[in-house]
Amino acid sequence: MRAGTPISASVQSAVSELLSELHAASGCEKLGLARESFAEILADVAMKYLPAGATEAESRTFLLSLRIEELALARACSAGHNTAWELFLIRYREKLYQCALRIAREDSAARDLADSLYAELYGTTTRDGQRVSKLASFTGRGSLEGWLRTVLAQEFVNRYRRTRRLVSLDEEGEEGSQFAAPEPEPVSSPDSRLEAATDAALASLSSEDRMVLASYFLDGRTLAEIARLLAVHESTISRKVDKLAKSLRKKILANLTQQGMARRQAEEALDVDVRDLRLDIRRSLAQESSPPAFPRKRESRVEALQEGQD
Amino acid sequence: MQSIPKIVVKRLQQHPATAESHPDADLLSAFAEHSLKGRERALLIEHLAACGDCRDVVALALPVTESVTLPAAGSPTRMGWLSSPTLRWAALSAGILVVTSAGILHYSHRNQVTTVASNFMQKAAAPTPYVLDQTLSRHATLPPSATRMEPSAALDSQTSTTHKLALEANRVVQPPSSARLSASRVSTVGSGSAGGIGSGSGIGSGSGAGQGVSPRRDSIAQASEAPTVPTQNPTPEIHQQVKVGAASTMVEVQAEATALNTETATTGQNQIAQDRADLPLRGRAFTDLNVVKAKDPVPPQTGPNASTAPLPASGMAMQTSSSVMVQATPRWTVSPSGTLQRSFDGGNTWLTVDPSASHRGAMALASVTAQAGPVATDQKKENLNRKASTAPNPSPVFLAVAANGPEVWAGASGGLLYHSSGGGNRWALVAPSEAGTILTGDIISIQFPDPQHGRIATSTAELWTTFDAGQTWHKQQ
Repeated sequence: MRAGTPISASVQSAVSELLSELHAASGCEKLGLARESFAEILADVAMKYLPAGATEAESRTFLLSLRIEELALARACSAGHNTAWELFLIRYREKLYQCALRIAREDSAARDLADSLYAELYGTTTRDGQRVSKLASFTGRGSLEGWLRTVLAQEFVNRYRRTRRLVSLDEEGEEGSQFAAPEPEPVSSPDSRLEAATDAALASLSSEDRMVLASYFLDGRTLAEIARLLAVHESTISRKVDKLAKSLRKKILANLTQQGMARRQAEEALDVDVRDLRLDIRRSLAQESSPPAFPRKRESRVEALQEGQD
Repeated sequence: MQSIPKIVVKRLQQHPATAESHPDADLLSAFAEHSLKGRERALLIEHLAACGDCRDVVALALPVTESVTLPAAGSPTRMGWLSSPTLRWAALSAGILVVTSAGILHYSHRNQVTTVASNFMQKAAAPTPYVLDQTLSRHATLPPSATRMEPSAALDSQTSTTHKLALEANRVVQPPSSARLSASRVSTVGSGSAGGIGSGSGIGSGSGAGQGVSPRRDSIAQASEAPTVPTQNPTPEIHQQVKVGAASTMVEVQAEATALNTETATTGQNQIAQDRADLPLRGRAFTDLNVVKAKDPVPPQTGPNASTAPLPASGMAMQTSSSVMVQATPRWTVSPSGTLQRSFDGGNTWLTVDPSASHRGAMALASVTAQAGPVATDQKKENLNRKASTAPNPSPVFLAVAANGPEVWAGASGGLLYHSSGGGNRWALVAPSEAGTILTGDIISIQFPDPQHGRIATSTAELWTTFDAGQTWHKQQ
């Protein structure tokens, strides 16, 4: 229970009404989790995610949408119940390693990733004499396996970011970055009207459209990956990207002409500057090593765009 | 695919989301599983539109499923073919018919070969001139009297040929060590005593039970102290074609080896005795064969003797071994039930390894600190004795394992830590201690990024590190 967070009446009522049903479905008894503790957990989760003015019906719907059995298992593990922990090991230990292998794509890195998370799940740190387990933060919104995958992915991304920042001097020396020429200044800075028109065009898009554009052009995700994220068909994403690209260009041109720029001038502003083309060639000729694997996806479409438009 | 202006790409990268606004793992996982609805989903997507890190996390956390197989809008005709219920049922019926027919044919064919095998057994006491073709003679040393018979020879002599081939090949190529181990390693793992005949002759793998791990693997793993047995001698491939039955049906011995040998394995207890006499495995009992086989990987055969190197066994064993990757470095894992397991074939099959069995009553390697003196040494011994005495007779529950080539560390409940520098063949019990303080609790995490540096975490929130491959340990405060 979060300290200082009073439980709203609607949540309290919903919890009381559904407690017997949810308690039976969760298998708390055999996991060693008391009924009262389980009620507190349900109320805590509901208060975390429900808006302040949620009605009793909304609270009931929310509670019924939770993964009750997995929530009980995770919280029983975090409370230190051995039966729960044994069950967790049986169900998820191997999956944890398999997920880590799929994410890290290399055996030793995967084992390191999984072992470090496993220690956090078990609770190797203590706070005020109490063991702190990461499983205490699981709320049952999604499956426990999915939550484990997400936590692994977060840890992997964090580690990657850290290693990117902490590049050793030896590595920099080998790559020649210490002696690399400074990046040349762009010959012409973008017109502020162009930036404003672009921002306006992007703001007119929905969040989902911007997410699709960012995933495809910034992250280098495939159409299939984006489709899986949004639970649509790949062809839907393909059509969406095409449509967005065309509509963006039209909107930016329309905005620029509204700001008094001539049509031809607006089109030229959108196209690549010839001087930028020469600079890009110099930069690509000077590059000796390929970019690291992780950001390759992120930069690939940006570079491809630059080369394509050049 | 249509491209977007460069300025759009640059502006998309602007205004990244702040760290404080990152959604928690529950929301991200719920989104990846399509469990989020309504406003929550919209808010999350708005964040994802601006946050590349969270997009990466969600992409990595997607469940392993096939891509959404929604029907394409532009291909209605593709679905139309199966839309008719009649056609669907017809296709299903046709499939069932094909499968049933194949099964019946296979069964009848197998019965036919079994009949042949039973005839072999009856004629086994009467030596018959046998035939070996060039294939076999290339791989085995044969009596010079072997000659090729005419195909029209009597059925009895011909049907006994294959079986005789098995025995003779077995006798001729008998290894002073355990060549049959290599030939049938994978196929006989856990398959029991039936592996003797089939493996040696190269005709199949006996019961054919060697496709995976059998319940006998625990017993296999018990004798981890068994020394490595070199695998040298070849197992011949047998390509003899034998006329079976009155009709002119040529039966590939190789193809039928499995069925043939199954019968042989189940009824040929005399053959087992024969093989036992033929294969003096350094005084090791035949029943221990599987134990040795389970432990020792096949070393890669290179060099001038490669031509006489062990050949894959025919029949089922060949099919099995052909699908096996023998790795120089085994893979390790801890099963959900807490047993330590090792795989030599890239994870296709796993064998249980019990370090406590190999260590029980044997040597233990204790670690001492730099400040250790006689007192610590005595303490060390006491710790080890305590651990050895308190080590339960049943195998401990393993919770963590880390491997760096041949260096393997395995941690279990009760603070039991085992180390092997031989890829898991021999184990030593390690008792980390420092200034009289010993490791307590269950070992839940082991990390050894390299053979020298390691870290262990326990259920009692202890962290122990070593910088010298486990010679000394330090408890982090």
